[in-house]
Amino acid sequence: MMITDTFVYLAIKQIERLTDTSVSQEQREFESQQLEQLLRGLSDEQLDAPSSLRRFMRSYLDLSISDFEGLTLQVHVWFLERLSHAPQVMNEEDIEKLVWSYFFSTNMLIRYLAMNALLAHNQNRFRGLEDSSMTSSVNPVFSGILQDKGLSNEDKVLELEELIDILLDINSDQAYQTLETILIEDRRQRYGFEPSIEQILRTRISYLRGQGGERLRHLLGV
Amino acid sequence: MRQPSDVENDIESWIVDSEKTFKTSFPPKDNKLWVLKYFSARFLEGFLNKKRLVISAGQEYTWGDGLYITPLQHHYSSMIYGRIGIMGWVDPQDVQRVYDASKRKGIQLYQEWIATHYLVQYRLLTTTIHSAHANRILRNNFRRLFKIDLVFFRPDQYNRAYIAPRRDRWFALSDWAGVHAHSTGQTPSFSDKVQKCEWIALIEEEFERSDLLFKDLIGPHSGQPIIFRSVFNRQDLTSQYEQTYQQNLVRGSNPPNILRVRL
Repeated sequence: MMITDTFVYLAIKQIERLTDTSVSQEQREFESQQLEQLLRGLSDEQLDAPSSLRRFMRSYLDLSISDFEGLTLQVHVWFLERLSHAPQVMNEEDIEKLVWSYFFSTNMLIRYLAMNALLAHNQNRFRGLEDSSMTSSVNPVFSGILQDKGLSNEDKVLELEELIDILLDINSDQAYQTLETILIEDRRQRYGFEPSIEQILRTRISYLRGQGGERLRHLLGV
Repeated sequence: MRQPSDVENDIESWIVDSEKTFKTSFPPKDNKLWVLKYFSARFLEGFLNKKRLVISAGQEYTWGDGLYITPLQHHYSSMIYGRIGIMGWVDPQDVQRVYDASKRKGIQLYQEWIATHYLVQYRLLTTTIHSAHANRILRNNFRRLFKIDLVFFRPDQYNRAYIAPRRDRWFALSDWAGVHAHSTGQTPSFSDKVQKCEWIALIEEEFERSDLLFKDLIGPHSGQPIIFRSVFNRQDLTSQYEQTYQQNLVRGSNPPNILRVRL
């Protein structure tokens, strides 16, 4: 790792320690509580991230790609989870980093958490606006799969299936909105995948539930 | 495999049954559900500053993120977690929807539900090395989606003198305040769900933790023959705890009265 900023280096090291199971659970709990209080600053206010939280999270978001690749899985998990908690610390440029974290490994856990962070960012960005579906922060993931020249059509279908499964697991309004967008795009552009996105969704129909499930059933005409 | 909607309906019915069991087993006193929390002395200073409990958040908690507490009547059973005993109460209105995970049916319904609702997380749980992460996410999702305020379950860690696994129950109390819709869980932040917390007890025991159990280190050498060290020979401390709590509540900034507890 070639991190040159002392604060960033110590921030990453602290999270490595908090996620190291060779450190006793009690010790990790104690240090986690201390860190939490420092990150929240003097107030419990959640809407506007305290500057200490913002600075700490930038330690992760501003890493170079090669430093990013040097982090442990547990450190990625900690930061990605925390980003979903505090999407207000992210800016537009961070979408690229999150999309990259979705693709850089084929680890499903990282992908799931990166997708949650992207959706949280999207929701925060369009809070109070009527329709955000067409400019979703998630669109670069979908288009990333379509445009990847290194993937065969068969591999693209596998990637799309995983993306769809992740969105179904997340099961939020934002996730279903993204699924609708992907479905509409597939119908409009006729990508010609076998099976099609519509067919993939039909095989998952028994898993859909709640308001989002109703909306998707309606969209699929079932 | 049954349809997901059938499983959900059964879970809703089980929540109704669980509420009845819970109200009978843990009736409120003065319209308060009295609870206890024990933790290590290193957390005491932080507690005394705010007199609030901190939400447990991470992979190592039986039912996901939340406040892990015990009912007052099972006051010995979680002493293994630390020498400092805190007492407080939960508003019964905050525990309307409860889930009985102490019985086989509650466990089975949960297992059936995760297998029929979560393609990615169930795959992570069953076929990867990331099962601890998946467990946490699934348990949190389950409690959040069904709006479960409290899960009660049998102790899953053991000491023969302090814990009666068949009789004792532990609580995982939900507090999702401030959690974003796309967060997979909580952070270790302060909670207001357990109210008017007071430090009331100091446990005169140390435990050594192994994979299998918590071994008590002082008790066996303190006079009582080891053969008598079992849950059946314990003194009921409920009224002493209640008395100490009431005294400390009115003492304000004066040093608290602390009950020294030993088996």
